[in-house]
Amino acid sequence: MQTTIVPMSLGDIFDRLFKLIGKTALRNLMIAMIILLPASIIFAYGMNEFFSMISQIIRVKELNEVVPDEYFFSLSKGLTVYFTTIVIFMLAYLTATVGITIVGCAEMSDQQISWSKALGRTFSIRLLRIYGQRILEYLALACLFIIPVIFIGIGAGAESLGVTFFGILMCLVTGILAVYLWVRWAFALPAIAWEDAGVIQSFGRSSFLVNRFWWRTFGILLLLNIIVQFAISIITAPIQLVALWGFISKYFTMIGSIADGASDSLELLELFDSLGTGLGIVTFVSYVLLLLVLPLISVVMYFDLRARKNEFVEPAELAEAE
Amino acid sequence: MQNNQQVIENDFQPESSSKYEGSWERKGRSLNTAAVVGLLGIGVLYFNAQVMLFMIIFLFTIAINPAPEVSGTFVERISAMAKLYTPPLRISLIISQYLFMLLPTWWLVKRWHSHYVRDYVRLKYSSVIEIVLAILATLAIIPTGAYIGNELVRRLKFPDIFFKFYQELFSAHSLHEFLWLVFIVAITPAICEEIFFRGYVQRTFERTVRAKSVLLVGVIFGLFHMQPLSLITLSLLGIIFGFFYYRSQSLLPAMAAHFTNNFLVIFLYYKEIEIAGVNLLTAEQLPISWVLITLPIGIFILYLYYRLTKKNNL
Repeated sequence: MQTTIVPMSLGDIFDRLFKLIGKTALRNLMIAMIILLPASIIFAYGMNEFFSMISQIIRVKELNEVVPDEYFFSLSKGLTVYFTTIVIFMLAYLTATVGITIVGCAEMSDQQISWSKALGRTFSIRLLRIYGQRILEYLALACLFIIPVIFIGIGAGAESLGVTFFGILMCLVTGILAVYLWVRWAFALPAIAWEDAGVIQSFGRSSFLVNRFWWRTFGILLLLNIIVQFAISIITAPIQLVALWGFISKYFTMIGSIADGASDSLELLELFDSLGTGLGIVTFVSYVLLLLVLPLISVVMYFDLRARKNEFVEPAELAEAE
Repeated sequence: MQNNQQVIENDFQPESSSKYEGSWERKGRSLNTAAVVGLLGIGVLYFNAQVMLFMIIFLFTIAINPAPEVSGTFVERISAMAKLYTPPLRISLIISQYLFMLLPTWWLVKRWHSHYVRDYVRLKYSSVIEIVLAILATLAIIPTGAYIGNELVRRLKFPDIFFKFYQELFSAHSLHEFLWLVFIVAITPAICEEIFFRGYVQRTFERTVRAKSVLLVGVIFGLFHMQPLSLITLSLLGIIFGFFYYRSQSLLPAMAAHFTNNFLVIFLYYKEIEIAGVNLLTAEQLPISWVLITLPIGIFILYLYYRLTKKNNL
């Protein structure tokens, strides 16, 4: 069945988005939990390892003045674990985004798809394509900054204010270019997840959809992202308090003792010991909430842009054609 | 029916026959979405504008009157900093409440829902007895809220130093300053926050979820203040204000209750009153006996309020 979707105004986008969130919330929550929960446990472990490693090294330095070499080895090990867990978490987040995008796109096309079916579709060749697309996108955006950063480096090294200033100016210009490209490629993910497009094809497809609507897309994406971040910060503030209770309590004790003029630098170290698990919980909750909304913003915008490119047939036109 | 949601209309009777002629209403969009978008949109605007205003006013103040170098202990430096920040904070608070909370709310109601904004938000008279009961109930519930808040603060070992900052913001050192503070801290939020939270957000939710809107917006009210330690206390107050609004079908009792709560805080800071031998500013915790006495009284007054407003056929 050919879905009929007409171009939407900002109010229509809000309306459609909130209805879509309501209709898909349970299924999307399931997908987010299944994929993010194990990743968050690994992430919390990584955080714990990293922070306890740091506090251990500082403790040794406090007592010995000279830090033994093996501690630097443990620090590099801790850093490796830390960054690995971050990469695992980011990949899990991206995977969940794909699953939720599939659920959202199906719903927009008047098809009901279960969370298990969406996961089944996610774990296929398209997931690898999406990983590839993201890597290429980030590489392209990062490459833009290479030349300005080199200029800043040379300027700083040669203590030349002019060259440094030129590098900073170039950085600003490439920053604008990066934002421009980020918006142009914002719909590459739904193109792969829903249309089964190839990696390079997805860039072209997204760019085609955004063409002539760049400012509109940029404005709405920015507005919706700010609103969502605000909502999540409000909701997660009390969760942060509960999850990081131990950390905050120790932090306040430390501030209290500084105010009383009786501070102990080792108190600072105890802060780190209680940080990993709490941060894991807060990160998990925040990202699950983000997953319930952010991918669906892309979905609604993606369908709106397709409608603006006349990709959906009006019922009247369909009847006429028949 | 409007977009698969049951819309309840029971009290909105402006002079015109076309009750909801705003753009959102005409297009038959979801009312819950309107409430959420209004809440978050105005929230983002309000908080960001307040921070920017504060920075502008602060820099302007410093440019005109450079701050003296402060040395001394950590506590002394914090106190000096609080004194420096207080005037810009107060001015940014008052401007942002009217310009970035009240005005956008008024505009949103007019554009999305109805030209009869005062009718929509229920800015109308209510009986004196309802207002008096709302004030009494708030006074009776405040000790319970304060007890819960204090307990969390105590358990978290919240340092006294931060209270000094807070105290400076709400303390008046002269009658003139006290009256100015009453306007900033008691009157302004009672008008602006009530029109926004109760008049717009709760009113719009109420049209689909009826009484559940009281609980929902009460918790949102608590969350919006971004003070996790006071979340329970503020949510409790929000629920009570919402209850007054819902039962009386008027904003005035909720405004009076909100004013009472905020006024009491600045009055206690100003007068440093001792009640039954307890200095409310320096006491770490209120006696539990206060809660045991005032809470049942508060509940009883709320019950009286419920009985009194039965005439509204809710």
